[in-house]
Amino acid sequence: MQPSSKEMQGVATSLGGMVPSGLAAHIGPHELQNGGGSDEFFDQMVSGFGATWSQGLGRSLDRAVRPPEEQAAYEGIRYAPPYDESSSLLASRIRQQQASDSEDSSPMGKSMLQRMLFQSLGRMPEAGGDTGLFVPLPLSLGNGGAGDSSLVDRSPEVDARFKTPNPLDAEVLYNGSFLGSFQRPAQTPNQHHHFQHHSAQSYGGLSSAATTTGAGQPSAATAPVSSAHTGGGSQAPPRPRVRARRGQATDPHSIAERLRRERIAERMKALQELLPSANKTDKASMLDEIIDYVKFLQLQVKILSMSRLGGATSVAPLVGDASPERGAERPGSVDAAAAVGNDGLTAAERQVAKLMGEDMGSAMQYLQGKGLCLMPISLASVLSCHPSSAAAQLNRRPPLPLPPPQPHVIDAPSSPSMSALTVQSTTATGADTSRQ
Amino acid sequence: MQLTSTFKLVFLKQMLLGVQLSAASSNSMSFHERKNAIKLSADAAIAFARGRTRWSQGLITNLSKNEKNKDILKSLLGRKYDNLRKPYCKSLKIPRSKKILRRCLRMCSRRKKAGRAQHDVCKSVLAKALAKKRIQVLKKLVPGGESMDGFSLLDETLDYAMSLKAQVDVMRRLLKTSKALNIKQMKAWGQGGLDFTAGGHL
Repeated sequence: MQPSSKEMQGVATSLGGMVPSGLAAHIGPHELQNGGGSDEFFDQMVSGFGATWSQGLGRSLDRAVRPPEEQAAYEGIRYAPPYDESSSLLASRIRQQQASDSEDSSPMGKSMLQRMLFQSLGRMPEAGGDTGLFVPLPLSLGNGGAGDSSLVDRSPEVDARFKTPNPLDAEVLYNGSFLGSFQRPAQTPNQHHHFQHHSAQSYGGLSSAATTTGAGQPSAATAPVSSAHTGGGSQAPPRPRVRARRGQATDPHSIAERLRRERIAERMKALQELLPSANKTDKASMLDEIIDYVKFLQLQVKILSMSRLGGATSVAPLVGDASPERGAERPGSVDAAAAVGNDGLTAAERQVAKLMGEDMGSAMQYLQGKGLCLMPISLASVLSCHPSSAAAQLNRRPPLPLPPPQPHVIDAPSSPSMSALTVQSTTATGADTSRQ
Repeated sequence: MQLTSTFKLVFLKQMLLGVQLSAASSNSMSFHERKNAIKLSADAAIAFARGRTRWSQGLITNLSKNEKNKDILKSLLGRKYDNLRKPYCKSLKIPRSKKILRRCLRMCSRRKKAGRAQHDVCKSVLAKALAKKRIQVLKKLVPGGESMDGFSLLDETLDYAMSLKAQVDVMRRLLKTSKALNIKQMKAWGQGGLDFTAGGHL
């Protein structure tokens, strides 16, 4: 997180309000772009509290009040015990800010989080104002840059002091605040939304800065905070789960995001089954494989269409005569299937079979003389419009078998299936002539 | 399940009919023409066999862009040709998702003014960009894919991939069959009395 540390220093010196927004800004869009963004967003939020808000405090007052307040809210949960005088100050400030804000749509989780924060903030003054976090606030608010360093110095000791009771307090506070302060969100849902919208930016910046500074402290801060989060709000930081919280309308954006991700996930799963590969890692690689597979299949079709050019001329006459409606007759090749329909061919079939037993050539010649030709049973079945029987047979077989009519099959590779199919087909249709 | 024998049979029939049509229309074809004819009939056949899906419609539309193919397609597909040409329900999904997207982008652009120091964010943004690029490539691959949004694109890709697989399967078998056929015939009719495989140079 080197950039953020640099930024922090820059901020400390400049006191400009722009940098924190800049820090935070990239969280916002990222987060808004997809629901997955909020995962990282929350991670950042969770991970970077310790020093960030001190830096954020150094900002312009109006802007800085919000993020540090939120940060403070987080921290305050942990640093509960000693500081009470500033808590009321901060709480009132927060409420002012919230009151002035308008509605905005931010992801559910973030809003929930922040709401919880504010609730806890609000409760702290009620509970006697034991919010330790607020103490640093006036310091930084007053001194700006100077306050930052002082805050940074103070925060470790603060943290050390309050680390042990903090987790418990944090969780308790969270639970209590969340459950007990429902009227708060009910009162100011719009403010919350908008505030959270703005604070999202500042949060992001703060957390990012915080991760770099205050080495041990953020981690210590993170752990109880995250546990508090998960424990208190029953809300997993990585993901804004849409639950029906009273007073909080489920955010359409987060719902939409969640739905979208689920749909994408199930489709990716289906595609994964289709593909020969078993790589389950992430979307990008899956998309890559899908793309490659589709390209490969298209290329195969192209190549097959090229290599079958020789077959085109031989196939075309076959088909042309095979289809009943087509009148194109090439010399010597007539659809056996059409002829098959006639019952009077059984004698011819036997004859052909006999001839085939002796010599293929003579069998062929015999057929040719009769104006017939041989064709695969499947093809004949299809073209003579016996789809049910053909399909029924072929369902047990690969789609285009080449059935050998006789035991002495020449077409070796597919012979086992073919012979069986021949038997079936001849028994079923009874009249097909199969080409060898 | 799409890879049924019925589908493959229908596809085969249609393809062979198409090939015959193309062969009938022009007596002597060059290598290229023949390849195109076969490919055309193969593609039309899978689109026909699949019925009405977005990719099949897109495919027919693409094929029909070539005027020469139009007639063949028309006679091949018959009345289904018009069915497949006319695009069904330009879905309302597209405008809505675009609205949401636009809104998000507007808000994002507002915040993107300042720098991006957060490399976590950069990582996810990068991942998104990668995914987007791939989706664009996929849109070009799947016929009619440009007008689809993410979900339907994935659906159509799945469908299209299965149909392509079936197509390749059938064509390969047909090739094997006719190859074996030709070899046998050439063996059997060594005397050359029958010109059955006149054009065959498998």
